[in-house]
Amino acid sequence: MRIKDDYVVKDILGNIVIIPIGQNYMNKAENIYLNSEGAFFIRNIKAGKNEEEIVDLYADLFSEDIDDARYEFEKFVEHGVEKGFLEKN
Amino acid sequence: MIRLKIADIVIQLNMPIKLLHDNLYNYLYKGALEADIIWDFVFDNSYEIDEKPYIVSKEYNIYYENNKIVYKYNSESKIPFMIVAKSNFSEVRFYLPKRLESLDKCTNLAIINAKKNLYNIFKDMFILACIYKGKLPMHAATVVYEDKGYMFSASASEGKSTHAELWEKIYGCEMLNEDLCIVGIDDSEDKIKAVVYGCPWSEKTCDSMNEQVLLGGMAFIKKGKENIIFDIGKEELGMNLLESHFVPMLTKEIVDMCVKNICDIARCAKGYKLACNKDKEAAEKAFEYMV
Repeated sequence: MRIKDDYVVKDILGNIVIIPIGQNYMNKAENIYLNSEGAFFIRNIKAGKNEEEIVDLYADLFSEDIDDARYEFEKFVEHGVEKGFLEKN
Repeated sequence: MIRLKIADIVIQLNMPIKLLHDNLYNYLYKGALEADIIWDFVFDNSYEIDEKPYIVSKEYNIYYENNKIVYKYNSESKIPFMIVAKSNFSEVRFYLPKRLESLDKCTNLAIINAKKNLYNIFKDMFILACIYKGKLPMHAATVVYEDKGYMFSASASEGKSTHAELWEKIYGCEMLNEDLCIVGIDDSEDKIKAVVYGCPWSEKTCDSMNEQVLLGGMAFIKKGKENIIFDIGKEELGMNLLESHFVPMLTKEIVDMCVKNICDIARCAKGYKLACNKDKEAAEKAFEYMV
């Protein structure tokens, strides 16, 4: 999956924010603030990692089993698609 | 040639002074500094664009053409009807209808109308240009007390102007601007400091001070039954600045500049959260805490 072109991911003093630009901004789309898990997922999506890589890294970092990690990631992707900043390949 | 100096930025306007709005006269500049921004004016009824619009809105479409940003207004009577800007807004060309080329032949009403339209557009172009000069235009009211500016920012109708006016009344502060303030940083000395500037644009009044003062603090206001104020750290200040600025996030480049300025300012400015009502006590509590 990928971050859509009409959104920009920025780090503001440690807080990760997804900012709508262009037509999206004009249509009054709002800034999206991510928690630490969301920030982890978006950084890795932005870095071009695939789902398996991200799920493995998440499971390692947050000491979760693979199924739970996958669930969290899929939940995040669903949220991202619904909010409009992610699109599945 | 007219030159203005707003928030330490020198703007050269190659236009007849008859089209300059009264509110801008306080910002005329006769000093020796070179212009940071150049605004040209062309009296021509035509400009062809081959590209598809990048942004479509009720009022105008925005195009990218040859590394320039073009605003084309949808109403033919709009003044200007088109704006062509370099991507960093350091050079802007305003296209005005040919009939305005001979101002002697225009009615007073036509001139007043043109002045007012240009005054409003200048605000939009200045906001975009100033972020490339390290500044952040904020939707805020700022009062000056003992050479320091105290800024109050809030969403519409949350009470920023009311609170600022209480400070004016009780403590004899002067209003720098009650709607749009330009924040920047002064790194001329060892310690980097946040500063705030007045500017000539305001929703409510034409009063503004053409001054630069140290920024004493920025309070983000929400209506409340009780009056409570507390410090916020730089991370939270950064988030509040992101929600309170005036910059239209048209391109990635603009976002990058805006966020850079937000981070620079949040690292050196003092931030507060203020829940307050309209009582005198609200201003007294905030004043005691911030000053």
